[in-house]
Amino acid sequence: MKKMITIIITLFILSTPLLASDKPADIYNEANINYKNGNYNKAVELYKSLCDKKIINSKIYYNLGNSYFKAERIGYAILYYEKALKLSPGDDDIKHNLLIANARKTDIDPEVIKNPIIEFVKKIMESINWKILRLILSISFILTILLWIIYFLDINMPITDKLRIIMIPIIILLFLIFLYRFDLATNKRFGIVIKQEINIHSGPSDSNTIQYNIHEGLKVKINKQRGNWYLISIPNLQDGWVSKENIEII
Amino acid sequence: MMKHLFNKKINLYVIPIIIFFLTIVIIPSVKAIQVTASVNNNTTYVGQALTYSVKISGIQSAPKPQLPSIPNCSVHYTGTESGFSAGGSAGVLRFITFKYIIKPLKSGPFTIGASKVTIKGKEYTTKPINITVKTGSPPARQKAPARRDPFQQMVQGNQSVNMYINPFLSKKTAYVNESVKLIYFLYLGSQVGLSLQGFEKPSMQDVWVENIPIPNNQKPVYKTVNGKRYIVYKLVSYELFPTTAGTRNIGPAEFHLNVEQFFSFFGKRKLLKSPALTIQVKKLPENNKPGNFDGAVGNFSVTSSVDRKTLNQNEAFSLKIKISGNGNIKSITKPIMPELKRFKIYNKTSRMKTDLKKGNLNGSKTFEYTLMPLSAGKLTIGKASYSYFDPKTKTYKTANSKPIILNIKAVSGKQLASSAAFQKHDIKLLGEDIRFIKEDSKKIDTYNITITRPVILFLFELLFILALFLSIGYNYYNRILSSDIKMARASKAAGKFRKTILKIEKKIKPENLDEIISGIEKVFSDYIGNRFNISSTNIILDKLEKIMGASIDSKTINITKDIIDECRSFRYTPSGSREEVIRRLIESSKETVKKLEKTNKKGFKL
Repeated sequence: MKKMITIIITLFILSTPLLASDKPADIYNEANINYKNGNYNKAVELYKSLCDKKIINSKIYYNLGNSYFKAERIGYAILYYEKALKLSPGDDDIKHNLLIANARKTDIDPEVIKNPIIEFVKKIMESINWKILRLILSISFILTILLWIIYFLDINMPITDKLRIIMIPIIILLFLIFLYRFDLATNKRFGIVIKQEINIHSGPSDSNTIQYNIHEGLKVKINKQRGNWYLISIPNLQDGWVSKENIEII
Repeated sequence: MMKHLFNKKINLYVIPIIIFFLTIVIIPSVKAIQVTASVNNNTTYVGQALTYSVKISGIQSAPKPQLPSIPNCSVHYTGTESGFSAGGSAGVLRFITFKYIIKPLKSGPFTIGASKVTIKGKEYTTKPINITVKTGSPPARQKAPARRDPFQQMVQGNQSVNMYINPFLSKKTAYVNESVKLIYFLYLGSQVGLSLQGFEKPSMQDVWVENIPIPNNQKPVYKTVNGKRYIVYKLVSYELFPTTAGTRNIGPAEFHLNVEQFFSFFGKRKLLKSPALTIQVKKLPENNKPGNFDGAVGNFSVTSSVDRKTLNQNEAFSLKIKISGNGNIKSITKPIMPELKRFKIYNKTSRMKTDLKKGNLNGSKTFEYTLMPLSAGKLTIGKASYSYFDPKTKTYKTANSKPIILNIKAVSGKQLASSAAFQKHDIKLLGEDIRFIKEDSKKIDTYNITITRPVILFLFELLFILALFLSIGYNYYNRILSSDIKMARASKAAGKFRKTILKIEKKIKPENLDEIISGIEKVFSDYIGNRFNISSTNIILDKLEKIMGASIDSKTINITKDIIDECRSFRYTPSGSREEVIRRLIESSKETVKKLEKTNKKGFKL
């Protein structure tokens, strides 16, 4: 009898991981299998279920973008590649796939003159891994505090005198990069057109004049929200209002 | 008596005035509500607008009437008018009129059915109105003289006209697909408030029309016509592109304006019509016409750009070819592409962008290609070109872009094999050009970007912040001490005493009692000296009371005196009780220091 109970308990413990299929990793793996088998819509459904659980991870967004791309829903593909890129701006795979997806959309992104120096600085800031950045910031912070403790305790260590001063701009710089990256990942200033063709109105209602049309996949800046309408802007074009249902925030 | 008469006279004037105002205010509200419908003309022509009004009398405000369906007509609501009418059997009547413009699209008689409106739960209906719609154009009311200058003619013909529409045509002769600007200006003889309620576009055939938006904040321009000064506003602006050669007629445009009147709260509707215009459209010359000419007329330039100039052999990149300039941008089909033999072309998209700066229809059309280099080394993307007809020089021209040199890096054999496969099966593999999914499910449920750090790191940071504050406090304390000797001595006195007295206590032996007692005297005197900022050598006991101050009670002062005195007279103590006395003195000095520390906190500024 004792042996029987032991076997039952062992079987129960072993079977626990199989039963717990609502674990994010299991759903993720199942979605991957569906993607590999060409069941893109099912893969979309499963990856989306992870997003619904408020899991914010660039890998999920990237794979979701791939699934939408395969399902020929370019607007959503671009949306999720952009979401992934916000979290992992240095990821080459995301950049590559976004480029391919952008080439498939109807509208070409308006040309914006970019400052090469700013772009270079941005590239450096975006290339740093978030966790490493956070760790460097913490260590630098602790080191700076330590140097100032030494100073306040009047401990005679000549090497710390210069280092203490140098660390201040370093920590400010790291903090600014940290803020930039955090804002990049969390801002809600841009959106993607998810409908095939949408009208841009001069005011927040259908009765206002249609200024121009834009198409699925175009990235727009969201300036304001009024009721069910967004005031959007596209470089070199007039600002206009668009119904919320046509745009998904990145 | 006089006073009485005066009052009577006053009443004669005042009472009717009061009654009049009461009539205005009260009577309209008690009058019966009436709803009537009317048209400005019962006979009209196809395409000619007529005004349909639903007047609701006896009420100040009313809901919008429900119109019957009017077949074969376009109906536009143009607004309301409200006010009151005085006189007649009805007395003073408030009214509100809802106005509509009805434009018949078919000839023959028709009836505008009854309109309905519900006021205070009661439904009111209007009588149906019969309309006759004729074919053809309405007869001219008066024969106009030869129209050399329609605007001058209008002003001269009727001096009372203080506003008119002046259309401006940038050219009367143009080539096929050449841009011609058509602007409708409103000339106002005096400053009046007005709004454009409706606009009927002019009829045009074989003309491509582009609407140029008018800025909302346009400033008026002042012009003098026949000695009269006019305020000029731009109402509508078009850019026309005739599509075939010959004479192109531009019909009259109709502007429905609401003009505010000086002594009235209610605007007056005014219909202004522009005169008809014609453009002579010439064919494009056949001489020297390039073979790839697609009909563009204007002035264009071509530029090409790539998203990066250095890349790997199997990497996709984007090539943009942009045609920009003045002319019918929408009619641009495609540029003449450069030679791209050493590249694989995946797909092409195009986007048009129009720019309305300075009221001109400038713009660009960009063609984007996704390419992949097939070999390594320096590869050149040649010139892209576009041919057009320049109406200014009356010649055909070809705009070219500059060539682009790319630096293509060679890649490993495996990657090359993949790109070779691409060449063989590029149609099948077109969908495979995105990179594969990320399969690693490790830490999939962790957020990529969080402001929070691991708990240990966070606690560590907190600990250091705390240490920093403590060190700042310590530093501040030291600085105060260094600037205040009295306080510095007082604050360290007890500590020194405790340390030294403990050492002395441990050293008590029968053979060194004299040494111990002098030690006790010294440490206690040092404490008193430090605590009260006096010299610790040879403390004069009689002056202790004055030195220690009023904050110390006399009992403690006496004990202090006794300790020092007993230490000094120790040599006279009998040998049998010496160790016992020393221990008592130590305990007594400890207790006294404790008491003095407590009392001194009040007396000393730390």
